[in-house]
Amino acid sequence: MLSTKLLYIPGVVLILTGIPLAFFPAWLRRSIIITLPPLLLLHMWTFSGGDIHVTWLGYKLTLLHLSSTGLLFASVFMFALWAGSLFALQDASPLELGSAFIYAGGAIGICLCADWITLFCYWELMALSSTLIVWCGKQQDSWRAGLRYLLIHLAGGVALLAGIGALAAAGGSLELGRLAPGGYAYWLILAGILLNAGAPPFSFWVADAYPQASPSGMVFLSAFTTKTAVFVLITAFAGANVLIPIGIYMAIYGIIYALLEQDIRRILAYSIVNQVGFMLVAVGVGTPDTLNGAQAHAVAHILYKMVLLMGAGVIMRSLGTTKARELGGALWHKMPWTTACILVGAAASMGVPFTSSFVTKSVVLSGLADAGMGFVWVLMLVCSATVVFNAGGRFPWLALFAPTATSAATSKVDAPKVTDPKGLALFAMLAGALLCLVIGWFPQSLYSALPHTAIYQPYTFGHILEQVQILAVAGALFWLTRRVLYPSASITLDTDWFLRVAVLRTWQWFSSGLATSYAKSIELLTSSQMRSYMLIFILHGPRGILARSWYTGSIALWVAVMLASYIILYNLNAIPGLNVLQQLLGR
Amino acid sequence: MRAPISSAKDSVIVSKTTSRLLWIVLSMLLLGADLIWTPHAPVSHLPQIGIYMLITLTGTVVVLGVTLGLRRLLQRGEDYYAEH
Repeated sequence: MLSTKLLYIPGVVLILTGIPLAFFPAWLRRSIIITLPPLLLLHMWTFSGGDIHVTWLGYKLTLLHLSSTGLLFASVFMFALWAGSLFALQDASPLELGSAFIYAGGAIGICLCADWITLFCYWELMALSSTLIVWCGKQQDSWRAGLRYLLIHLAGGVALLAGIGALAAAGGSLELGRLAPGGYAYWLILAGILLNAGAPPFSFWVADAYPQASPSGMVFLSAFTTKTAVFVLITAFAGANVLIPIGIYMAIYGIIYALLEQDIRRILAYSIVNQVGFMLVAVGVGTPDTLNGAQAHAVAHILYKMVLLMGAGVIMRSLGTTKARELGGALWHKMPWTTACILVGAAASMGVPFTSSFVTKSVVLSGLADAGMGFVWVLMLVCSATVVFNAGGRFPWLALFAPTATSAATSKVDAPKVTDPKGLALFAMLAGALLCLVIGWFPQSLYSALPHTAIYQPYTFGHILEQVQILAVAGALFWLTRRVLYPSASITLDTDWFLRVAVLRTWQWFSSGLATSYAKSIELLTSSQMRSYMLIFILHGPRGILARSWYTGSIALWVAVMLASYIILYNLNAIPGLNVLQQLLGR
Repeated sequence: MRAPISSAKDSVIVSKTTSRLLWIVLSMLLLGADLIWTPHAPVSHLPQIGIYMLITLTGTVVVLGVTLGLRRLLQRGEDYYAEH
């Protein structure tokens, strides 16, 4: 029975649970959130029932296929859902929690399916549910940012669907796997996926939409969309060289815009683009080592970014703002646990030895070096070092340690609600931080889950010294320039300017031109010269009095009247001296 | 309590002491780098003297320079989109 088999698919279970989750009583919702993700995680790793197929319109759809890459991504997604939901229980709305389950279900469904049609269904579901999460943020610009987010993701979905359609029309296999380069299908699908990855020129949507979500909403958002895109790129576009320049652009873009940003959550959003760029470069190079590195780093990135965003979320819950200039400074002594978790997450993001990124990012760099890509290696090394200037050093400094810019903000710190989170929220944050350390201390636990045979050894004298050099220089430069780079109360223009200003102004110009033309047309039509034409139009136009339908009797009456008039005139003409017709005709 | 930073719009002038410290730290780091063994670098044709430090230093300075340049070009007031 297919309906029974569907319950073996973790993504479907999450979606079916997520739809009614908002309507469940609080105790039931809480129980489901605490128990369901771990149970499904256990199910994924112990399931031995083989692939689940279904035939639809002649196409064989594979709804469940446990590949090593898919299983790795699905597992970390499941953990992100669990930890994020535990963190969200404190203040997230039931709608946000339900949407998060559907969103995660879509992401996990993509990782565990093996055909493009099923992938597309999950893809669209992710776009809709993640938009709901943005809207649940209920911030000043949540609604509009959500609309922009939805617009871009639906456009990406259209490109993806067109590509899948082109693939099917060309007689290609719809099985999810590496696509042959070239052709409309290849480029359309790639464009659709890259939109979700935050590739240029649409990288702005990450920092535009994510910080508009609630404290917990951004934790969910950071984990799934971009990393699902990375998963699909690994599966279908490994070795596509076009990804290398795109990834380099994203990595540099993320650094520069994060440096110009004043909002700590937007700094983390730009940092997501930066790190996804790193992964795209690795996928674009496409050797077994770099593909291993991309996957390992995606896992590490999800975990440490989750911890950092939870930390930022705690600050947002406490102070009601995430603008660096309004944070009050020296929050670290009011929130020791949050500070500890943020510092672990920040260390992991920078690649400090014995944290997760140290053992994952170096796989990518080593792979680039072994592939002989010296220039790309240098660029990625610099991008790796400059993480100190966003998530690694600048974020914790601005969030916890920097003196405040305004004296009004200082008083906020003394408010009683400025404390560490309690209960499950604290547990979620600690669990994430702990995993960042566990991966750093025991890298083989992650390497063994990678699809290609991993022979990389991160803990060598040379590698540790190499990383210490990088961190020492970048750290010294950060410390010396920290005041110069202190954020101002401003925004930075991005390519979203075209969407928010240029397109809007063009539309306004077009609509005002249209209105003017209409007004002028009406004026022309009502002028004295046009009145005679109007009269003719009124009489003879489609609804004119002379164009109407008449009853037969009425017509006969008028014909009779005309004939009678004619006879009378004719007879009058016959009378001498009363030549009426001649007079009428002017003769 | 530390004094608040007055305004981010005003560029903060780095003091002479800080500037000297910067050069001392960088010189020390580069000197220390002489001892560094760099087996992973795909730049083996270059002398292996603090190559990671040099790359990091050069790259980071370039990134910071570009960032400061773009700051002048792209930054607007917080109400920019509300006004436009």
